[in-house]
Amino acid sequence: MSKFAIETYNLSKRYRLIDAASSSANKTVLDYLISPYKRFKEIRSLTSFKDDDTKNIFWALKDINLKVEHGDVIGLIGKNGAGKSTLLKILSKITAPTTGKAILRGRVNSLLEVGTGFNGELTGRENIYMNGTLHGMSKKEIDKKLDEIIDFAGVEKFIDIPVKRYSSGMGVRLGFAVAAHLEPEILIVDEVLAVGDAEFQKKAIGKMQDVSQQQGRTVIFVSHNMTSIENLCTKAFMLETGKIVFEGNVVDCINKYQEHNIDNAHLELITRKDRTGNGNILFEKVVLMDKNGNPLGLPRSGEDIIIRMYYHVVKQGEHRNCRISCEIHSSRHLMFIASTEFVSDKEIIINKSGYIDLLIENFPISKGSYFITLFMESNSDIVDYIEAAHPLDVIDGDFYGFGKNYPNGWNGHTILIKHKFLI
Amino acid sequence: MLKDFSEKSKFYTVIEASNPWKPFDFKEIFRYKDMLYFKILNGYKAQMKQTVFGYFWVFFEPAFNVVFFSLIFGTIVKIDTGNIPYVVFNATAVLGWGYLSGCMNGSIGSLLNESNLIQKIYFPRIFIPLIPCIIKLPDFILQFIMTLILMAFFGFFPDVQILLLIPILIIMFIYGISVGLLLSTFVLQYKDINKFWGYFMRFYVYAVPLAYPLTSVPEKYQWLYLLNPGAVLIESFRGSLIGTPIPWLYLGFTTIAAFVFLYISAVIFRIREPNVVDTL
Repeated sequence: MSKFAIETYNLSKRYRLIDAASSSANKTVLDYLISPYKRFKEIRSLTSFKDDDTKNIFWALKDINLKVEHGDVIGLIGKNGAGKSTLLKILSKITAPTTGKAILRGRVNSLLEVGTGFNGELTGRENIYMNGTLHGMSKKEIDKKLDEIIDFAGVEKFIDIPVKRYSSGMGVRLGFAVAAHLEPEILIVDEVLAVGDAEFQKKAIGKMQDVSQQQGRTVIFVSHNMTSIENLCTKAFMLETGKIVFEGNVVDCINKYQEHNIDNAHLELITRKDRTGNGNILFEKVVLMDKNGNPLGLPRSGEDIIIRMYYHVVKQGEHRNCRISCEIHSSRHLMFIASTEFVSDKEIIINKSGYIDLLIENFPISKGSYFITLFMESNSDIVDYIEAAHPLDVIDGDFYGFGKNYPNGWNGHTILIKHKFLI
Repeated sequence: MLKDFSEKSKFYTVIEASNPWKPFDFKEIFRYKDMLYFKILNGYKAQMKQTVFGYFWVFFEPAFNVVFFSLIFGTIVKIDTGNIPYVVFNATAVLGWGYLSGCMNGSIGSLLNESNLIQKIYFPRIFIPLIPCIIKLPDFILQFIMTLILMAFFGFFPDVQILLLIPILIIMFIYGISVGLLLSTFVLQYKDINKFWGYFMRFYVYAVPLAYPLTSVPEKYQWLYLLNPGAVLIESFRGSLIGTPIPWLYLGFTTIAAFVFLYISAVIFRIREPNVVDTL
């Protein structure tokens, strides 16, 4: 038999983007009369393509040739819009490729969402059967594993009440418990590990590792979390604008991806294209300052610093319920997150361009190179999100107020915490 | 320890343009049969939960229709239904119409209703327009029993001809799912179809002999009238319950047309289904 679990040949996927925002201002009566016809042509163009037409065409994937051996755990790395999700959707048969073909050897399960098909009106038990059979399990298989699934999810007491009464954590655990008991030969996982509490995540990741290592299963895994990619995967592919730009060793691939991010971090923020969100407000600039508002070159551990985030309002009007957060991370690990929701209940309303200051007293990060990732949402909609928006190089300082720096040569990226030994 | 996944294995998947002329993949349908079962069972349970009147609603719609038609056409317009009381005449057709229209309405909007699900997981898509046609069956049986009671109250008892109800129901089922297979993928792309369909059905109810008898259609146009499968099915449905004449010839045509329609619709569904999530 072939040693490859998954093979793809020139897999490509074409989409058409249509303008949703054809404005109604400045239209004549004639425009209104013919607009249904124009609208029809527009909607029809979603599925009808001619060879020579290139208008608004977007190749989400272009000539993907993958070979994945049985037992490999593959990490797919790439920015938003690089084509990762499209590739997963094609491999899990949710949408068909425009050209090319793929061969999968083994039972395939895909987890693009936890608890797909859950119905709040139904009980936990009913939902286990629904979700399990949706993933292609038979009733018999579920009967056999039911107790194990309920136990894994830790919802014994609630198994016969409607899922809508569950806390969100319980719902996720139940969904994951079913997924963890699927036993496919090929498992396709989108960024679903991002949900659920940390302890359960660990359990779920552990279960996934068992699956791949002990039972020789093939896993394709998409995540933005480089730590879990590094822990789980044996091989990685990096996608960019629909093409595979790197394949091989996980660490090399992650480094390559980070280099990319770093290159981007030095670009002018406003010119950055690799951002997610509706774009109603855009981050414009980040300036580092000391407590008194004087510009700061390199912040020092233990100093009080201000990160000033300038934003530009693109869509005029009142943007209510804003949440702004700022992640400090190294090229590999998240150090901490500062978010307006952690520290204040006051509603943040943005109606004109301006800036917001984040004051961090006693900057608790050891020397090294870091990045600032910016995130803003309004009414639970992502407005703007830029990974590695600004570089942050920290130099050694007297965090502990003891007049000492870290020993020379010590180079760990770490959080600093005041501590005391009780001697 | 690795199993062999050669081309013969049921877990050997090739993803590429498939052959639409063979629209039914029975092997796959069989593999997912338990999913179909739970989707139907849970769909049925969920629609009953958190309604105050529960099963009352199953009877409400046909009862409402019968009262409405009996008032307008039986009492005010005074349509002549021979020696059959108008209520019985109408109720027997409303029962069949309820199932036929329920299947069509449920099936055509089905993909749109399940658009979240089809973006997240694969299963044989053909189940989606199929399920509404099956979910309507238990309701139909309850309504059927109520109709029999109503008939008995007026002194009507079905004879052996009632067995014809089963093939008629199957043909209605086939028309229901065919309309769904044909239109549900288009509804997803052009949402206008759903709106248009609502108006179409309001008209269509008068294009079948539900409110009036077939005999009130001028005799020289009856052949034309009976080219409408819905009209043939409703007339035959009533005939099998209360013994009015059954248009056998046209029922035969309608049956053949049902299978042709099913095949064509399934092919069209199969052509459009692999890319249908792209239109959402």
